[in-house]
Amino acid sequence: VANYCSMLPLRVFLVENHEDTVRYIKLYLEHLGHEVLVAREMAAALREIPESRCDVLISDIGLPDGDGWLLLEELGSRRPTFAIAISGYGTGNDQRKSRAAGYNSHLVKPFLPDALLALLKEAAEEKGSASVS
Amino acid sequence: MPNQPDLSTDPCSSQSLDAQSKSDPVCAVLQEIGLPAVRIASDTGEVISFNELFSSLIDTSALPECRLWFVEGIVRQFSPADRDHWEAALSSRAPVQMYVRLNPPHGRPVGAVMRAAMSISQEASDHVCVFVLLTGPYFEQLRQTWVTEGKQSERNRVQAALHQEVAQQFLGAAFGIKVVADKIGNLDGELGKEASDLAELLSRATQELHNLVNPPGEMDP
Repeated sequence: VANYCSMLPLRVFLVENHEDTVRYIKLYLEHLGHEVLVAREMAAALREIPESRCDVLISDIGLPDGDGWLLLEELGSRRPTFAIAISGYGTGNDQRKSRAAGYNSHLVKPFLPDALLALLKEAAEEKGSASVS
Repeated sequence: MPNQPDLSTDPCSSQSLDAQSKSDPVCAVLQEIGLPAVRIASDTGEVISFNELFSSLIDTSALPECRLWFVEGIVRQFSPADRDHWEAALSSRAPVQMYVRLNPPHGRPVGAVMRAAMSISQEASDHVCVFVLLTGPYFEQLRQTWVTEGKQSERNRVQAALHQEVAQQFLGAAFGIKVVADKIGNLDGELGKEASDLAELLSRATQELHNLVNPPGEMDP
């Protein structure tokens, strides 16, 4: 964690409907100093993300009322600049679909905290360089 | 009824058997693909026609009258529960599948799965019963198919359960323990080390589960 303490704090929007996953990812990200907003369904995410001014979207691909690919498509230009797909399925086809939809990365569950952290660091660096320029 | 064999004179002779097999296209086709079959009257169970494979499974010296082959050779051996099941299926005109034991004239008794379905014809009230013997090359082929299907089905079930629940719980635990280890580490260095080791162990278990659920070959883009 100490290695990432220098990371810019991010506003992260988490779209996930599994309670344990939501609880502990949120706990972990807040512990690192990030702000976390949560939606458990695609409809709620579509309503809340545009106003949230989030830097990063972390979305499960399988959602009760849609999927993470459709979510990004429907958000269009209102989407956060950095997006991470998380899913229990990680075939080549799933990963290609995530990239085609606009996700920067596709993490396959169960992934480790360090894997998510590395991506957030990337997002923070992008945010940092964007604010400098 | 066109499929009705002439039972008036020596109905179970080899010539008659041949005629019966050929006169009933369903039994004949089943004979071609190696399945014993018999057509019976739905109300009495009397044999209407059959193929040679079926007759080869009946001890004809003990049961000389072929119209009774089904009742005496098959139904008589049903347990009371099987008999109820059979009669319920006949009266509801529903297809039925049952385990039966056949006693061929030479050799040991043979287990078989009997599948019975009512004739499609509106005016007919007969059932065709097909037997899949639980022995021999055909059964071996069938068994292999069942085993393969069973394995795949079980693999799918386990994989779905891992994906839907276990993987999520491991993920939550791996993230949660990391936070706990950090917080304990700030309070007590030694305890923090223990918690950190535990977090590491859970991370390795999570990684193992990840590899199990998502074999590397399937992950390749």
